[in-house]
Amino acid sequence: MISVLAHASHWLAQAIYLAPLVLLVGILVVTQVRDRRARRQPESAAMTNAGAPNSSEDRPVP
Amino acid sequence: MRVVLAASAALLIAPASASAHGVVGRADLPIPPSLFAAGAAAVLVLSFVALAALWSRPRLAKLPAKSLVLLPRWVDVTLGALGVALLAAVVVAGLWGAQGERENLAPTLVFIVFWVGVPVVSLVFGDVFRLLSPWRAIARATAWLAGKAVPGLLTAPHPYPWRLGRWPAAAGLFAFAVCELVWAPGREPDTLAVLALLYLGAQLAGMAIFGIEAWSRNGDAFGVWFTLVAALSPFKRREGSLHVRVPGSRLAREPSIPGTAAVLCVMIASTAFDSLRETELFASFGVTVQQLVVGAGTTHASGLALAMLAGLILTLIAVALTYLAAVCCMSETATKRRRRELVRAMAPTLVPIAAAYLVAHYFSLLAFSGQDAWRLASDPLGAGTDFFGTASAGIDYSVVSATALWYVQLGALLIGHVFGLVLGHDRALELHEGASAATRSQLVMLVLMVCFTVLGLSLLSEASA
Repeated sequence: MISVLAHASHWLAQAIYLAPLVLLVGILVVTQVRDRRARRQPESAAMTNAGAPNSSEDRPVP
Repeated sequence: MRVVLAASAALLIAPASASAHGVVGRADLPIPPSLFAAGAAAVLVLSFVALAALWSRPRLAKLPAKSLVLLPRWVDVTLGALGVALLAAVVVAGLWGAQGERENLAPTLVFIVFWVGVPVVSLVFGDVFRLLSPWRAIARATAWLAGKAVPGLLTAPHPYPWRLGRWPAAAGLFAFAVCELVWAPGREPDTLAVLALLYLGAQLAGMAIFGIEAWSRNGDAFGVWFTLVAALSPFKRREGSLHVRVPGSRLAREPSIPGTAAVLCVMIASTAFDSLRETELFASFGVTVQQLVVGAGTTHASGLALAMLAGLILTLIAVALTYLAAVCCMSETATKRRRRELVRAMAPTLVPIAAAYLVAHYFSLLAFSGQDAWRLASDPLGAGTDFFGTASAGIDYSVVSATALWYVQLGALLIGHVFGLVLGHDRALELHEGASAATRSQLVMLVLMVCFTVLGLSLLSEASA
């Protein structure tokens, strides 16, 4: 283990091959998070409108 | 005794038929299927006799290849980019598309276009996957960019361990077979997308450690299998130009690499098991295993998956034992080391057989379900898009008749087994002293080929009856 770490300079540069995968996974995660947020926003907006005291359904009938 | 053992093992693994994917009606054959099987057996015996009489020295390895045209570099770049785009399509459709198998492009792209289409194209045009491989293209592009940005950044890779050989590829193909045939979630679009990314990661790691070309030739499961199939093609790309050669002659020069026989046994076993799992024999076995497992406290779905896994492993063991028994019979007096060498040296003779089963088993799937790729290309996510105006395209089941399908399967099995005999005979001439010793060593191969062909055809005829 120590020997592997001591020679890190020999193999660390090779990890650059994994960069495209890291980039791709990063893009996928960011897109998923954005999608979920975008989906949540209309839902919370709809809930706010439905629960608002001045909505037409909740307004007391005179 | 060994011949009997080998023949009985052949009986176990014989249902390498196309029954699992047969979707057309009854074949209208001019003579009974049993006569076709008898005819095929006669062709094999006659081929063996002809080889024994007329083929007395190794010829295939010495056959030259002729250069046709120079392939420009943009072909590499374009096909590599196409491969990366298709991988991206699997990932995006799998993660964001509808999760129904028929609504999403990912399963069709992976299990039909990639798994069946690429080897069929490789049989005709040569090793196209070497250029299409998305992992190889990404690794090459990364190495090129890294070299441009920081010259001398990437050091020389580790030498590939000879003993490791193609075992990683065999393990990868077995894992793919499990996803295709055993593990039901493995066919779902989102699982396929995640598995594609994991496989990409494993390939890039392998290429980083052992170098792009060494890993592609030995560790990439699909690269190894498609390259072996492409050795049967009349075309080969060498040093930037396209060469034409006698089909299959490349296999005579195939080096003895550990794990090659394992790769081919996995391929034959997975195709055989795909047919076997449709039979009543397997149904009763599956129910027994499922009941045992469910009795131990697992769910019915897990029980079924375990039964299927047990079936796949048993089929693989039967195929491997058949091959080992055949090789042992070739050299009864040989030492253990010599037998191990023979196991490696004779492995290429399995390539035409594995390719024949692939064509016979999956041809109908490619011909019919493959058409669905046009519809799904227009609507890859199942979201109602129509990019190419083919979203409403259906499957034309009249494109190949049941009779034509039967002849394709018959032809594939027959050509594959005759090719296997020729290759085996040519290899035996190189490995044994004298033509008569070589011919004697191949008698057991003839028995096996006849068993495979006759039983394969009888099951094919049952499927189309």
